[in-house]
Amino acid sequence: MFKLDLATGVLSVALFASPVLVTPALAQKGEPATSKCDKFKKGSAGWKKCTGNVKDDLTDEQIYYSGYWLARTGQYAEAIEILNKASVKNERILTYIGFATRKLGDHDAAMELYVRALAMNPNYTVARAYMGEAFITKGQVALAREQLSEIATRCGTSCAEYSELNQELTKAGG
Amino acid sequence: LRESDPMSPSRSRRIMLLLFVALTFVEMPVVAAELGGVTFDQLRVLFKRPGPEPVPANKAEKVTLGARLFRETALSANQKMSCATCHNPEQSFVDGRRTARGNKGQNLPRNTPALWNLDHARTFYWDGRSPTLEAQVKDAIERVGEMAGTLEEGVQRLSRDPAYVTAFQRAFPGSTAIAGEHVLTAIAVYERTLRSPDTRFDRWVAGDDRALTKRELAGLQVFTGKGRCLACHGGWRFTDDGFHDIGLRSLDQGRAAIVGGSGRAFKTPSLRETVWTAPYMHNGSLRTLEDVVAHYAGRLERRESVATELRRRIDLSRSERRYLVAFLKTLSNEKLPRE
Repeated sequence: MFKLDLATGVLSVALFASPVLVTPALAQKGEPATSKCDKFKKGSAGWKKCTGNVKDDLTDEQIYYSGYWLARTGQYAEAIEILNKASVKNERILTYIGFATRKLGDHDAAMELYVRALAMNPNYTVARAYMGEAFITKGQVALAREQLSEIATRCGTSCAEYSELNQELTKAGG
Repeated sequence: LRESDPMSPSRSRRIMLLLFVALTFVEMPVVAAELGGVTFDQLRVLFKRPGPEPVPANKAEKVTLGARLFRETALSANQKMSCATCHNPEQSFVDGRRTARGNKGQNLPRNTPALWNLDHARTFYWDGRSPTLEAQVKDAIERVGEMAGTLEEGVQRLSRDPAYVTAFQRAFPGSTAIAGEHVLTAIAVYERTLRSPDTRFDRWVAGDDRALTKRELAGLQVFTGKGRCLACHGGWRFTDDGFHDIGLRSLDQGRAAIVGGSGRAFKTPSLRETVWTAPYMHNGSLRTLEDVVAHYAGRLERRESVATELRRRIDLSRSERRYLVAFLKTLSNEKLPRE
């Protein structure tokens, strides 16, 4: 925690010296990079903040959680936008892009994303549950049941993904 | 004044300079390295409160009646307990005890949950056994160990009081006698009005950059990032309404006793007004917010059923833990919130 990186140090002084709390990067939101950023080494923390680079400001962990909560609260387009900024598109990121895509009505694109997520990690049962839901929407209940059975094998019948897909199947009369 | 005088201006200036340098390079880099304005801007939307709820018919009368019934001991078997006995309105609707006290003074197995923002909750009780607030109220009135009465007996007692009969007629026009269902509705309608007041954090969400300190913002970074708190504690109520095993050393089966299966999962509690609702967790085993953070950052039991997000260890430095606690406190009002 004793980082003495020059760029960070300069930024810290600016923060500390500020009479009111204004996050520098926040104040620069939307502004293009200017020559004032040249004093920071390109790619350094100070440079990223000075140029207001959105992608670099977010950690993948934050991107995932933000996208997850945006999707949960029905803000699907915003969820897709933020999830696409992840530097590594792992199974979690792909699944939630898929979830938001499906909620926006594109079931085929969503299905492709679930397939890609499961190719990375076949035990990621969240993708299986959402894939099952997509099958139900398409009227392919037998395929949804297959996913339910896979979930039971991989994480048991007491895991949340099992009960959620099972509930959807019951609603669909499957 | 001599140069060596402890109060001399030059010495004071040196001390100030040293303090400035120390604070800048010890505390600030942690904050500055992690602060990202655009990130924060995007995070605000995750915590925005919803607008006002639709108002049920005769709401004011129901709320007034419900508030009175909430404090009514006639609904319990021994006529000494009410909802307010454990959910004390003068204590942020909790009792401050590790676990609740039952109708015979016995210790019940679980901590009394707070009642803020239940209008948006999906299930009730730590194990989510009640699907509606009305069902939860009935359960508490009738459960052995809690109020241990029956709704029917409660209604009979209330019916002997002409003031109650009139209040019910006003709240439920058209009904001639007090109905058990109306008792539950009135209490539930009242409880749904218990919305935690805005805090400094809500001011920050609304766009006031000065509402939170740098330390608190650094805590928000930990909360939304490496602390992984946001995995479950998201949205304006800071809960996913889900059930998770968080690795507490407790034999209580929690949700599994209701829906079957194994594991020791409990409902994610809201983080609103937590400063006022200690101790924490379903069994009240953690005394302070610092204890809660320490639990997640290394003390939890990593058993098979533990929540996916907790399977990997969460490593937080001492500073990060302090920042996280500082942030958590911004979700509570500085004065005891009241209905």
